[in-house]
Amino acid sequence: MAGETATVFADDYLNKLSGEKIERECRRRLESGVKTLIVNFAETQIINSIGVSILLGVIDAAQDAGAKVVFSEMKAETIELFEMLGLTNHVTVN
Amino acid sequence: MNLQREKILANLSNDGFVGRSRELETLLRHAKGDGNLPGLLLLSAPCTGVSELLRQTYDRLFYEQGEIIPFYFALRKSDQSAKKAATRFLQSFLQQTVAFRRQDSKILDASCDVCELAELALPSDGYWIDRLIETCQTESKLNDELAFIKNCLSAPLRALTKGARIFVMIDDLHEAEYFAGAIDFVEALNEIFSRADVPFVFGGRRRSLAGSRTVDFETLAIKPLLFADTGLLIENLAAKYNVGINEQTRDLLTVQFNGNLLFIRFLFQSADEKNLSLDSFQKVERIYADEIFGGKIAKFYDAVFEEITPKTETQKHILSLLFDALSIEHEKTHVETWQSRIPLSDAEFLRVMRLLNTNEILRLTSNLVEMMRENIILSDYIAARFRLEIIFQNRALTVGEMLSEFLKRAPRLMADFYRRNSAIGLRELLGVFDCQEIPRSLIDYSLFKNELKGAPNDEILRSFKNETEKITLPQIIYTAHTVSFYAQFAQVAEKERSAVALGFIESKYTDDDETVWIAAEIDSKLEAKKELAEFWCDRLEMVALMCNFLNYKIWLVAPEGFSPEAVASLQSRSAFGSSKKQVELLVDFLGAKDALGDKIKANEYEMVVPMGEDTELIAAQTVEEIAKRHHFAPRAINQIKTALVEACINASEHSLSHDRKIYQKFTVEDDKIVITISNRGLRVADKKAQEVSPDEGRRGWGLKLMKTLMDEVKFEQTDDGTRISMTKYLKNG
Repeated sequence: MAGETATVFADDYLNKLSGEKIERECRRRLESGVKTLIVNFAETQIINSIGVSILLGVIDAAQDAGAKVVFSEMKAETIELFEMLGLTNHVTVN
Repeated sequence: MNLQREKILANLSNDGFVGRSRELETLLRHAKGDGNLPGLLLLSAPCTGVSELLRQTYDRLFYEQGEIIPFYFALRKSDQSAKKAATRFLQSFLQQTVAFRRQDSKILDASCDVCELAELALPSDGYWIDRLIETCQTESKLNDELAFIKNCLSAPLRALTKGARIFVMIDDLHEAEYFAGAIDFVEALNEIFSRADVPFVFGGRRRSLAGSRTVDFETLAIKPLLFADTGLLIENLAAKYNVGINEQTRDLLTVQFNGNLLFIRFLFQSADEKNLSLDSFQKVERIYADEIFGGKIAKFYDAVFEEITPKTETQKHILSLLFDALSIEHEKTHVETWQSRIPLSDAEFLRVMRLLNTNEILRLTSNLVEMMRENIILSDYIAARFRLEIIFQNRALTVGEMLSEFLKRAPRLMADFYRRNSAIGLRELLGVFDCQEIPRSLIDYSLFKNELKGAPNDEILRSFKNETEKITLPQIIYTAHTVSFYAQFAQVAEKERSAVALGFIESKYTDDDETVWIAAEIDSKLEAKKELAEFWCDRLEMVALMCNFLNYKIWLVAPEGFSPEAVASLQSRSAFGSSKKQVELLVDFLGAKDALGDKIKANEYEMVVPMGEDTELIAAQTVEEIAKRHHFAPRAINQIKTALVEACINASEHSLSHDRKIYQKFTVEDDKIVITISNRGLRVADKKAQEVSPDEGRRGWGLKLMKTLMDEVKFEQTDDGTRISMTKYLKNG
């Protein structure tokens, strides 16, 4: 964590298990007062719909906490998928 | 009005009617006037499903409720005479017309006489229907049988003059051969419809209808269903009768029954009645033996023989002759031999022989009689009856011995099928030679080996374009398997692996221009050696000698081509030698894939993964490899992987499957990949199969993802689970 910013790294397969891991980490950071939550997808190769639904939960939780969510280092395919599902409307993409 | 897609005349549902879509479309187009001639003749072997095809056509036109009124009529032996058949024709015509006009198929189930039908008719049709009935009744009273018959049969044409466009489909015309009386029903029908300028269809056995009567008809020959379609039909029957099968027995049934749809159904009915499965060769052959010894198949043939000649003694003479014909090497015998052994008058003998031919119990050509050896079921039936009724062999012994024979034969049938299926189709390939000029390296192995062997396909194709040395293939006018020219050749080669093609070198049609190509596919794991090449050249030259071919060319195909010594030997005989790779390229070059049928298969991969533990990733990695191999772009591959993962999750989450398995099939065709994911367990309810908005909280994205990422997505409920088929087209990826 650097100041009010925290970075969480997603696994190569974003599914229920790894999604819940991210969710837990994000909630923990939000509770500690983080105002900018960066989810780094550099390692992520494939994402399933359960993983997406968990990310939506993270976005909701961040909004409730008045924090900003940033998705970073996404592959083109990941951006396309998130755009298709409307996730990119609620986050900042780096 | 009830226009639910219930069956009207058809016996099979839309889904259950497989393998005849092309023929169905032809009939529907013909009904709408797209044929070149008004009359279309459907010619078929017995039990190949022509009646169902016509009945499906009827249902389709009925439900369309367009301008065309379908009318289907099938002759029956029980009509017994042309007059009775004509009376039933008129009654059926009126009933079907009224049912169509009233948009009420239930009228077809009612037994109405013509007067009741006249009352049921719509007011706009009432006048002409009344007039029609009146005319027929008057002629009936006048006792003018021919005039009455013609009036009945011309009813659809009379209706046309009153604005009713009738599409007449008359089926089972061969049954008229059994009618008594002086009036020829088919001739009367031909006379009336030869003047028609509206589309109509006559259907029946190919050997009864093919002949002089076909002059003014277009013909559509109904061939047996393709192997894959018959397999699908068997799977449908297995599901319908709840009889267990497996892939091996499905294929055995397909091969052994050779497209006889009626007998396949009999077998499943028998298995169902006995509460037995058909999931091993032994079980299949046991139930088959029951069918041959007194089951429905036996009763079918019993009835055919009974109808042809009810005299037991005559039947025995025929059975003896048929059994003899089956047993001897030279299968053709003179008609005179048969006549001398069947004590019947000339006229009766001719009638019996004609009916045996129509029913395809034997083949009658050029005064020669030939047994239908290719019909295994008929051969078994004849052998069984011969042993029981002619030589009075003990029944238990006969059944036991024949069942044992059936079991020994089953793997042989499959082996023959595999060999046939793996043959490269020389006969078909020769058939498309049409004076094309080809690069010499396409057919000459030594050139190919030196210049192109091992090169990538695109480089080979480029090289063909630049090649200066060309060969002009002959124009082929006739092809047959070599064994058809010289039967002894069967001792050295399987039928499908050698062919003879007759033609002309330059289409000059002179004696000097005549040529014969004699080709054979030979086996060799490495380049074929000189001795092997010479062995085959000797055999093919023997064929040329025995058939008196003067100007001939020998063409050998070996999987890996020929050794330099073999090539030299072939050149010394002016023969060609090619490798299998060259033949594949030649097929492409000549655009002959269609002519070679379904020999070139789609690539199909199958795998089963357990549910859970992220096993969908294994499936995703597999499909990635497959898609890469078939040149899908990285972006499309990612989309396919994501959709596949969703389908697997769907199977795991909703099925409550007890076996916890996900069955996956990846089929790659020229332009697409089709992924089929299926599982056992709870089925997806219909409402869930529709487009789903993500309204289940944050879940429920799976369907949307699959449908967005793939070009086509189809959900199906199987008897015991769910199947998702997803298609991605190469052009989109």
